[in-house]
Amino acid sequence: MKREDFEAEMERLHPMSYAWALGSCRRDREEAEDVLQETYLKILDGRARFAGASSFKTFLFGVIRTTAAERRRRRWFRADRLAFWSRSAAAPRPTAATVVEEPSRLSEMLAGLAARQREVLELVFGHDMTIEEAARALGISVGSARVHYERGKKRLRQALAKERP
Amino acid sequence: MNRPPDDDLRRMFAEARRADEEKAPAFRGVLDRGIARRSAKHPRIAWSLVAAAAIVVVISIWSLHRSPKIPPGRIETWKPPTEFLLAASTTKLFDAMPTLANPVPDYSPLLAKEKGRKS
Repeated sequence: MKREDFEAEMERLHPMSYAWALGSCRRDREEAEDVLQETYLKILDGRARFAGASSFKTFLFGVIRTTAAERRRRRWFRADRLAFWSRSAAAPRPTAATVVEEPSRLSEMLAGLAARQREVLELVFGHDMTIEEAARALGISVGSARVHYERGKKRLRQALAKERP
Repeated sequence: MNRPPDDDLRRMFAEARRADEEKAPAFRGVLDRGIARRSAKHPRIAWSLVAAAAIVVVISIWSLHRSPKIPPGRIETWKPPTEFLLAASTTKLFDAMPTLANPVPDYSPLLAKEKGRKS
């Protein structure tokens, strides 16, 4: 694929990429945009190569997720080193500039699930992926994805049942 | 009519996703900001690397030209700087052939005596 083709595909998938990035960044809008910037540049520069083994959407969502995780690790490591030097054990807190999306009813219920369960359900129900595609995007086996899907769905239904009168 | 299983979950997730998608910033803006941010971060680093590489190349070429060459025809007389370490007290023994006494003594009576003893 040429650069223009990548750009066109990324533009077409941009709104759902943003929604997925938001979910991967704990609803932090600024962080979600930074993740998307890094992801798009990685793909256009060739640092993340699309081999064609899956759909472009699956590949793109996988890179978004990996980029969000890398940024989280870098921030955590920087905060850890700062804490070491400043002899403070304070965890990084959102600053005044951080804009966190108002949690919806669904995101509140999903917050009670394990991260992987949440991710699989979001990809399958929210982004119309199959379990196999979700497994590929998350870099896990299909078997693991199925287990996360079943357990996550069960817990979500339990949370929904508690809400209903 | 039979609804697909988990249709209610799909609807909930689809609604949440649509709400998020509506708030997405424009693609072109996101990409252009990313490119601008990367260009702002890297030019100094790139130029300093180029300058450092050029200095290394110049120093390498200059030191290659300066290195002393062995002039032709002198290799046979060249002595290593650590030659003095090879000198030993016994070195002179091997400098010249040993000479025999002049005239050479007559050892034949001794040889005859030896022969007599053996028989």
